[in-house]
Amino acid sequence: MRDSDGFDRFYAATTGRVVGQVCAMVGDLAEAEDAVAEAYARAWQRWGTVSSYTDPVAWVRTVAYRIAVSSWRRTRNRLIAHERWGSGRPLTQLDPDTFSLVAALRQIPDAQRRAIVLYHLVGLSVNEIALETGDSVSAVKARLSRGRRALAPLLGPMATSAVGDGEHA
Amino acid sequence: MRDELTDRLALLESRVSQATRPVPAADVRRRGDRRTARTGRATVVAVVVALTGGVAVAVAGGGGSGLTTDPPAAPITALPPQTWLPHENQTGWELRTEADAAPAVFQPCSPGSGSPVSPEITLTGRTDDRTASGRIDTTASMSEQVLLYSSAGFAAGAMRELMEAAEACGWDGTSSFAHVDPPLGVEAVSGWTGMAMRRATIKSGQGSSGQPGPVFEMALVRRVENVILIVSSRHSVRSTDNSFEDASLSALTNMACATLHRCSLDHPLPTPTPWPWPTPAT
Repeated sequence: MRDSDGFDRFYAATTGRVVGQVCAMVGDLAEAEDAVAEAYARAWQRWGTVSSYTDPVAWVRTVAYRIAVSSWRRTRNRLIAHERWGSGRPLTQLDPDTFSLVAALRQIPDAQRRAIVLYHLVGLSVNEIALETGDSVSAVKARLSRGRRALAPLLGPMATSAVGDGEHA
Repeated sequence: MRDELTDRLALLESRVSQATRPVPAADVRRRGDRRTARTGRATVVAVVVALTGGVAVAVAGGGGSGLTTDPPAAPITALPPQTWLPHENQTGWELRTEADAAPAVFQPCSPGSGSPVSPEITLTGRTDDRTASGRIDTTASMSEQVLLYSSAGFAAGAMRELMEAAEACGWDGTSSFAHVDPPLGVEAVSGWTGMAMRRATIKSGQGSSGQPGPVFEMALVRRVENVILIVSSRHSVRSTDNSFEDASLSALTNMACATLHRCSLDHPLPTPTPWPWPTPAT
């Protein structure tokens, strides 16, 4: 018997944050919303297992990201997302600063963007990012470094100086 | 010390979190339950020898309790009559139903490309297929295909052959791989589950007056258990839009779920963004 109350509490407490993280990774709010909803649905399917994980949010985030980056799923979602969940809000409804950040993130490669978000937003260490993405530690470090370098000119002078090279523990 | 990028990302997360309208949790659970019911079907197989000549009918029924514990869907040895391809009835499109011998519409090492000619590499274990071919417009042709295998293992083997051939013969793109990973899926056979490939070549007779000209080829391949779905296209001009091919594969995927009960687990296919054509190779 799955614990629906426990799932509902988990969903309510984490879904907004996960949508924000996945939106930063994929640059599309509607895509992020639909992928995250699908990921939570899959989490519910195996809630007995997922809820026992040390970090169930990481599981949902990983699944949501994988769903969102599937090209043919993106196409299909465009056709059915409105029908299923109601239309998503375009990012242009967010404030200009947020919009410009997403626009800058969109200009760097997917893998770098994901590493940047996991490191700077989610707060994972390089080792944890490597575990979540299935990449090597050196690859994660390289992506972080390249991503920061690529973002620096896109984020303006103030941000440029703040994009450091420090690593979490 | 938090740097500005961290702060701006945190602000982004906060703003998006406020802007998003999460679906009610009960709806999400219902969605999960529907997925479970769909993928957990087919626990009973009845083979009915029809008086007219022996038709195997797979009867699916019953609900499953969860993705990780459900048995695999019932084997299908022939494509049922309801099988359809997205464009098979359209004017100018040719339908081929050659039982088990049609060449795959994705031939990574096809003749004439300067690549080594390979034998048909997708026939082993194949039990049925259906193919439709036609034109998208004056500059592009496309094919859609369903390949059915007697087991997921044979289908995985065909995918592996296609993948290796694509890598050997100048195709570029991405692929997805499924391990037997209980938290993430139910596939009993690990192996390639998807590939999105492109190749640009120069071939004789493609340009005006029979001059050598560029050929831009694309192939989207997906495996769902013992079924392989392929959409391939061939363009004489550099196309920047693959939505036609994507939509076709989506329709095929939906057909495989509705008709063959081979419902995709949505293993991701990390399509590069952007996805530029490689430079045409002679």
